[in-house]
Amino acid sequence: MDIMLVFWGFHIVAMIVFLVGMGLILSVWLQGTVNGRSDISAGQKLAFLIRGTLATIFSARLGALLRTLIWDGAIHPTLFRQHKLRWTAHCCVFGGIVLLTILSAFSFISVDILIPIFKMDNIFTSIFANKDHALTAFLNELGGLVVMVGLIIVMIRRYVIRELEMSTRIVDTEIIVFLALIIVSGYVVEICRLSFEFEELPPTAIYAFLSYPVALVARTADLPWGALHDWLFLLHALFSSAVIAYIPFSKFFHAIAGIIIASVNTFEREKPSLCAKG
Amino acid sequence: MKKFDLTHYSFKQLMEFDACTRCGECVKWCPTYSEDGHESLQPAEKIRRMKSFIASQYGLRARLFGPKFPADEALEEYSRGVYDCTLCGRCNVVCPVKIDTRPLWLAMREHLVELGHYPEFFDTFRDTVTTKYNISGDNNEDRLIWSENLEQVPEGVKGKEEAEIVYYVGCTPAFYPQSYGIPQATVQVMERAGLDFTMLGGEEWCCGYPLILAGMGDAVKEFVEHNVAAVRRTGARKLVVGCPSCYHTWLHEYPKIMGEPLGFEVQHLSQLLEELITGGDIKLGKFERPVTYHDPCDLGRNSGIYEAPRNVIRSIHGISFTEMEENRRYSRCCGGGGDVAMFNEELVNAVARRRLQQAQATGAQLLLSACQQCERTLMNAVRQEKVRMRVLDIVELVARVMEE
Repeated sequence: MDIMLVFWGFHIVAMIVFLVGMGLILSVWLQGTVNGRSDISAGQKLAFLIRGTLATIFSARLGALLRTLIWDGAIHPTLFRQHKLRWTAHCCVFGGIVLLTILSAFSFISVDILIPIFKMDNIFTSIFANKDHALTAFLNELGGLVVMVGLIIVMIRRYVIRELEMSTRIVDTEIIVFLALIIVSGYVVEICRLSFEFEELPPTAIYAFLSYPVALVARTADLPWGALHDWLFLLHALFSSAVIAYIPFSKFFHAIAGIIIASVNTFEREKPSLCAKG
Repeated sequence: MKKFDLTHYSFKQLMEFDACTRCGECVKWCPTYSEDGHESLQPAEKIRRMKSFIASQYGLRARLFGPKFPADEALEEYSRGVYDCTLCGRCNVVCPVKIDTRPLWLAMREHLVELGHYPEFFDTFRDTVTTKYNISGDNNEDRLIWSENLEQVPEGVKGKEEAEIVYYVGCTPAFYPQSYGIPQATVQVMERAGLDFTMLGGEEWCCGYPLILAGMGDAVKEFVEHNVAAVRRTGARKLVVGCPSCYHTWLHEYPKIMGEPLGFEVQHLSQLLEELITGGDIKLGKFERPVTYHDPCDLGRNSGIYEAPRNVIRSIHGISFTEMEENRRYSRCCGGGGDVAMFNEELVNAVARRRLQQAQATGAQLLLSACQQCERTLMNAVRQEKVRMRVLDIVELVARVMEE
């Protein structure tokens, strides 16, 4: 069985579900008023919003928009002022996921597009197509580690010291469990790969500073590491795709809506008031 | 099948429902939840409930198997949380994704009015305001009743046809004896400063804010048009408003409702006082007692005026001013906002007690504010708790220490 064929088949379906979910959300949002108007069609509202967004992007305020998007949308200074530990947890989880997503995207672009189609062999592709390159190995391990650190802080606050004054619901728990499963399974897959390829690994593989020491011990076990890696990789990839498909239907979606709202509301407040003097 | 009409919310507000991470930061800071403890009062919980109502009618399952309208009990409990909120807006200040909560709570109230799930009291209240043009139900012609105690009634109070400034009193100081001191002090200060001012008397109608807070904003346009026309007739270049809620409404809501600029400046009384003191139009004497200041939500968080009242206080010679533990953007609500006092006095008193404790912790003998509703609410708490502390509006203190 071609594992990649199975993965891509599932992944395409997952992406379709994701897009359907996004469409559903947008259709709900478009029932609200736009610029105070409710008497226009959803299409007209969408056109109005797109025009407004493009007008801001192609204006002198683009810099301010980008600043609010990064500073208020992603870095969250308000959270930093209120609660340093929560901010740390959020930065770890969010930053780690962003890092891992970028690395996966660069790896996909190098392995499946630039090298086979465009025959490109340069420093970019050599780094990201090679999982054992010092930089790739290190950043992947670091990304996974910071996400886990963030999740551990979240779990301790929510389930151990019960610092939150809100009841924990399934929507809160599922996001933690799903992320933890993705990260842990990612480490297990990497350990299997390193154990299987151990004899041929370049010296830079040691930069996988968590998986490599574990693989060093694990490889001594008489296990079919190659087959294990293939199947566990498939499970890890399928589960990750399923989680992406689930984003619009879950609390994961706050990562998208939250960034937009934090930026838009800050951006709007920074606009000079039209009614300050009546 | 009946479904929610989502036009009560803007595109952005519907997006804000999805932006809430349920991090719970707002819960820690909510003054009503911290006293009542009912889950429905938590800001994040209100959002969660509305999100689940929307999902049950517009989500994937609803589209596949049909929408499900929320049960009356669920809507009642949700309504309780929405209406027991003082709309202080502190949840917005601490929200990591900056959800603009206050307008969201107002939109929820409007929606609940359409759904018929709101405190019954508001039906009577709406009738009163729309027929009597004030919140107390008194004859609107008696709006200047507070001036009858004045030794000398300034020309402006009698109602000049034209003037530079219009002083808009607001319903509470005009009709509730506990607050008469505020307009009395204001006109004394204005007279002493030699300002050319007038008042609208019976032509002053409620600003409409209490109806907006009740979720009945559709009834307000008539009030806005009447009040704006009344001020414009005087040819005034400035409107001075003592009540922070009226001020907020005049400054932010009126131009939106009118669809045009008002054509005159809107100034809060604390800003005018600061201007008069800085300009040397009034001279202040000594007041050698420890004081603290309570930021009214509609003046501070909701209108961004923090320094003007503080500058007025600091300009009084010999005064010892100490900030409360929670101040400015993080100021704790006194409990008097959001129309909650109209139907849940117990909750208001509990919130006020907490704020009073913060004032006591400063060692102040005098608790100052710049809002008649905050003054009334905190004064009630002082009486109930038998605390040796006086509560005054800053204009009352200024009038007392003003030199001849």
